[in-house]
Amino acid sequence: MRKAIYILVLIVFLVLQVILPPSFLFFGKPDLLLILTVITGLLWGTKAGAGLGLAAGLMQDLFMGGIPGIYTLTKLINGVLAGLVEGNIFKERVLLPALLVFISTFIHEILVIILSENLIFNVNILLASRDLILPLALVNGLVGIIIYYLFIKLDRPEGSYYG
Amino acid sequence: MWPFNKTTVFISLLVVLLVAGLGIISVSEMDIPYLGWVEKGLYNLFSPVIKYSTVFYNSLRDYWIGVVNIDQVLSENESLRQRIAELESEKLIHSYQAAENERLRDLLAFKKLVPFKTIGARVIGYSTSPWQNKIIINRGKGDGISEKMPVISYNGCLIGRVDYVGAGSAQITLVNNHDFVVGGIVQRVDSRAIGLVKGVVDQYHINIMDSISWNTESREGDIVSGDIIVTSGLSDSYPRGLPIGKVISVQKDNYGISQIAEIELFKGLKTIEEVLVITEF
Repeated sequence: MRKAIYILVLIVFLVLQVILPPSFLFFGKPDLLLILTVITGLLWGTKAGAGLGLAAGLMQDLFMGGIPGIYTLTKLINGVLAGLVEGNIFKERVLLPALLVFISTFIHEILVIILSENLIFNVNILLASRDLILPLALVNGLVGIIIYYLFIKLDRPEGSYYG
Repeated sequence: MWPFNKTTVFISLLVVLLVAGLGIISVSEMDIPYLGWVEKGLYNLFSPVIKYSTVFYNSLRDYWIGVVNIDQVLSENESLRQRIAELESEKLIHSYQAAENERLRDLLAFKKLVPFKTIGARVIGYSTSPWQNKIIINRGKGDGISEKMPVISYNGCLIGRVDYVGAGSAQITLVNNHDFVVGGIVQRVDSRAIGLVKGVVDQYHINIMDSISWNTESREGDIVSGDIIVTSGLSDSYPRGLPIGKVISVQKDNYGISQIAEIELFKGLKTIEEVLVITEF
């Protein structure tokens, strides 16, 4: 049942990710699939994070020029990394997941630059970090707080009170 | 927490290597028929969901804008009525001039200007990544769309090219995407400056035009700020004369052996909602 809900949320987030225009929020539109991957990893561990990251990446690549692609790999890695934190933080503190989403955005986007032959030779990573990744990480972090709060309210995993 | 022992590390590495391998296949554009079939199937399955979700989202957004800006909508409605009346009278004058133009062309035995065959489309989706500038339109293979067709805005400016075609939708790579390249030429009659107009990463409104002749005294190197850049039509991919943008700066490139210009695009591509696909030219 829980898996079905996560798959449904994944599809809804994918649709939102596609239909929302780039100017949706002041800084840009959030990467909902990345936020979902990180939160899943954080709540349910490495295996769940990797699984959802893989599915989210495949879905994203479907609308970005073919599956499997760069996002399949980057989202999978982010899911695994978020899963490593599971059990080590107090899950009721919503600011920590926001920080994790913020850091994950940096890792994710830098991985995308490194893995993309078109970007690696054309992007100044420092400038891109300041002008593009930082605003995106802020948006993701803020939206991440809302999504994480909804997730722990709707589907609180066992033992979440004490990490 | 999920236990990390030798087996799980081995399986994780295997999965990562497998996915990385498949990713490399994808990046290098190797064509795997079975995978392509799955991809098309999934894409066509999701496209209608995207299409109807966009219709729903747009109607919600329009309703909200209407409620919030009712005074503005009413005054805009009034000014649009006046504008329509003005355009109707202008249209009558233009139709008279068009008939006269055709008559004179016949007299001079000029080749007739053949307008492009176009098909209108609505934007139903946008790129899911900040690194790529792409849109999804509600026309696909069933409407006669095929890959590499040029796409223009309703006022005729180049917007991009068709990149991927599904049954009822297609993906468009926008002119400001980092891997978009098109031949451009200065529109001014006394200039023949030609170069390659390319997208720039993280720039929505600015493209560059490089490989322009170094010799500013010659017609091939005659490019200045304010020049209008249009498609050169030197390849078969784009018709000649589609406006791209306006030159905002020119400087030496490659240690002075060529020039590079910054082009401000005519069309704001962040909020584009309707496009025309050129099916024949």
